[in-house]
Amino acid sequence: MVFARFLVILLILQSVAYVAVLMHLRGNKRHRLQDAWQRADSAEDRDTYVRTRLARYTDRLSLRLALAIYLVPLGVIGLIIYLTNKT
Amino acid sequence: MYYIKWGLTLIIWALVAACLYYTLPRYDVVRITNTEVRRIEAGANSIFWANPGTSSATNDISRDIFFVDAFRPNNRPRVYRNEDTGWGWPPYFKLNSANLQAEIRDKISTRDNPSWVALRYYGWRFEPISIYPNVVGMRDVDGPDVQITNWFNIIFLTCFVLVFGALWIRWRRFRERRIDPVLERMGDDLDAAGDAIADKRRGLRRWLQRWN
Repeated sequence: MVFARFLVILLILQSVAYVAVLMHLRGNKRHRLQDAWQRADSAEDRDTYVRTRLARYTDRLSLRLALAIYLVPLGVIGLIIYLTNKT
Repeated sequence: MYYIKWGLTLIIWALVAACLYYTLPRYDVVRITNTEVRRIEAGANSIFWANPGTSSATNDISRDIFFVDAFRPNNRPRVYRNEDTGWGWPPYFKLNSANLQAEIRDKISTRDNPSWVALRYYGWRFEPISIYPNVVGMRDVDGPDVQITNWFNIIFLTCFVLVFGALWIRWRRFRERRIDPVLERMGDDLDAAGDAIADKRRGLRRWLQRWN
């Protein structure tokens, strides 16, 4: 019961962190793409240029970010459990 | 206004520092003299007791708790509790309080023939409200003068300061880019409104003076 509550809180925090980090990284990428469009001087208009590349970036990023944000804390918790209870 | 803002900031930081000081692990070099189980009533000080075990879900006020009596090198007593934190707060995930109690009991020694151990613990001992620090681990040491480096705290606090600094810088940049211009515009609007009211007042006063 306490364990379930702990898991729920952990999941909520991880989801909030996932969304926040994803938005932040996408925003940075968007700015970089806008600068790159100006430098590249391509035939596409700016919105299309940014949107297609941003979509590709998000696809690649979202899986790796989800793995990192959801699995790494579990690993850390496992390590803490081992270190605390091993005496 | 300035003092209020600084006062609030100070209070918030004092609370953060107190929480960290309570929750982060510390070390005591002691000799163990007794272990026992006592029943406690967790009344007004219940936030300083861990939630009961990893098995039950109800929050009993009256519980049996392991206690450890120890003496510091200056022969002052320290009493610790030995409770599972389980899946609750603080996130030590301590599940082995019974095992730890057995190991601590194994180390009981006398004043004349002391056997020194380093206890890792968190929490405060504050007699007026009967709260006890919680032993989290035990390590043998050679003597009472051993200095123990608290690596975890060093690393944790460094990361904490770095993360907080990074977030604060980003908050400042965000504020300068987005919020301050809006506030300046609001301030300008308020000034303009104030000027308009002052003009109207001067006009009204001149009109009144004509009637005097």
